[in-house]
Amino acid sequence: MSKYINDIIDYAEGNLSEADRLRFEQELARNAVLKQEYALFGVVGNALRAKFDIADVESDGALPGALKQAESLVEHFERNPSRYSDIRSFIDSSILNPDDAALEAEVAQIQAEISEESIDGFTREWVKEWGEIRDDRSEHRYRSIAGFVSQSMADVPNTPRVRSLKWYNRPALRIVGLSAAAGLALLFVVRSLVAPVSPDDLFNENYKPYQAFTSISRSNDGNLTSKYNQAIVNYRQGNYELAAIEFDLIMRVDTFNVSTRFFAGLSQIELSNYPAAIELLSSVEQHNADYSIEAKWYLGLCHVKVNNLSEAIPYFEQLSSEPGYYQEPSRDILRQIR
Amino acid sequence: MREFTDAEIIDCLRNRQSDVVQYLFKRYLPMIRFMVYKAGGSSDDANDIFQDGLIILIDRVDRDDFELTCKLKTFLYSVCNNLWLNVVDKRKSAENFFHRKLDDSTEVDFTDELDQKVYQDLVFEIYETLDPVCQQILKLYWEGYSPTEIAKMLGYTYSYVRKRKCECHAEVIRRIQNHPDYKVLERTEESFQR
Repeated sequence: MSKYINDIIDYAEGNLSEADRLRFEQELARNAVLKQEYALFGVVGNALRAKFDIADVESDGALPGALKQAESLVEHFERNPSRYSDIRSFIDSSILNPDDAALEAEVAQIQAEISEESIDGFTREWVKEWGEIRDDRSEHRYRSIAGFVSQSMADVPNTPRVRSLKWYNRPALRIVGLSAAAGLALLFVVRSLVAPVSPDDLFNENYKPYQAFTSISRSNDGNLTSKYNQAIVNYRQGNYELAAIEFDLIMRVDTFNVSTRFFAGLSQIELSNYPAAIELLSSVEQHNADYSIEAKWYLGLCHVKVNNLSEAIPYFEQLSSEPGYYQEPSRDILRQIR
Repeated sequence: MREFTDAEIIDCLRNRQSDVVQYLFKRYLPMIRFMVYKAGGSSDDANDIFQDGLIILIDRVDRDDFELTCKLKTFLYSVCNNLWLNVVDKRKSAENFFHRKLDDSTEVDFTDELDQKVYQDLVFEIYETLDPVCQQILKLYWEGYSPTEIAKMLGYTYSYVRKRKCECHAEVIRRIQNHPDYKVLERTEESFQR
């Protein structure tokens, strides 16, 4: 039998004295065998706990009723995500890891110091002055300092990007050894030095054609269905000009069909005709039916592509506040364009 | 880990006590991960679903007319199950898995998902091969019963339960370490570390 198992279980159960706990943790840090067994103990526990909980739930006679009740609760939740922001904040703060808690305390202290010493005034001037230098990227002073900082950050392994990650992945952003004012000013400068992603790059990173499916029975008009399917086939095969023409012909007869308009809009994106794409996708988005969420996504990207960020932001803000597939990518984009 | 009763959990959530949230994550997230993994989801999915499920739970318990008509974990499971089904439906209709952007800095690692599933399957397989006493003791232990309670429930002495508990865990760990699938995982991890 493993010589470590007794200690592992006692440690996991919190049964060790303070001295023994420290000794165990020191041993854990340097003993690969113990570390492996401890990790496996955790794996076993999580797996068995899950297995028995699921079995218990599935044998609970109240499960069918609970599932039915949950359906309407979830529906309400997904329709009104902003209603729950207070509860979400409470959960986030409850599961903040110690590094983040320490960081938050540190930043709160810095903010208090800024307020007491009225540091905001001159740091604002520093940032404004730096912004003027940065705007003229040919300026030698900008290039030499930017190059030095960028190179320094590239040399540091696992340098955290200045972004907010999910709660369980959030690294500690260390502002160590600097006064409060210089620390925050340096933060603003560093953020401005990291070359912003161009609208083109942002669009290209995030845009992917949408998977289109032909219709089995779209309307009572078999002829229109057939034309629609043909247009979809052309879209899927990359014949976007043909697809765009076919969708346009369908729209003249079937004046408002959401899926036709949606794929017509996507065809226009592929043809780099962004104003037309925006017009078509806007009508889909406003209809607030099928494809409205996807339309928001592509509308946001179109506006990014044409460098109309103020128009793009509201779409990504809506998507980022709604649980769903586009929530995280939208948050990611917002961090880069705000 | 201290076990909370359903009534205690409800009370603590109403009073916004953070330690009960941490407890709920440790205690019930594995169950939701199991459900999500089984349907092809990731641990990120499970975490998101669980967090949303907790939000709905807290919103409910805040109401004066709230009455728990089932076990709390059944309620939580039901809510998370519905949330997950909606995600699966949306993904099926969107069919846009290839949109997913892999970002190095967020530690999204599909090999890690597969490893978790392998470990999970290993543990289940090995558990089924244990002797009945080990199975009973491990089951009750991971359901949150103390050795004293387990001894009483099974008609054993306290010291016997403690001893068998350690032996059974050691046996499971030993069998995992000797399993061919585990050895493959180990070799893969070693090659990444080189």
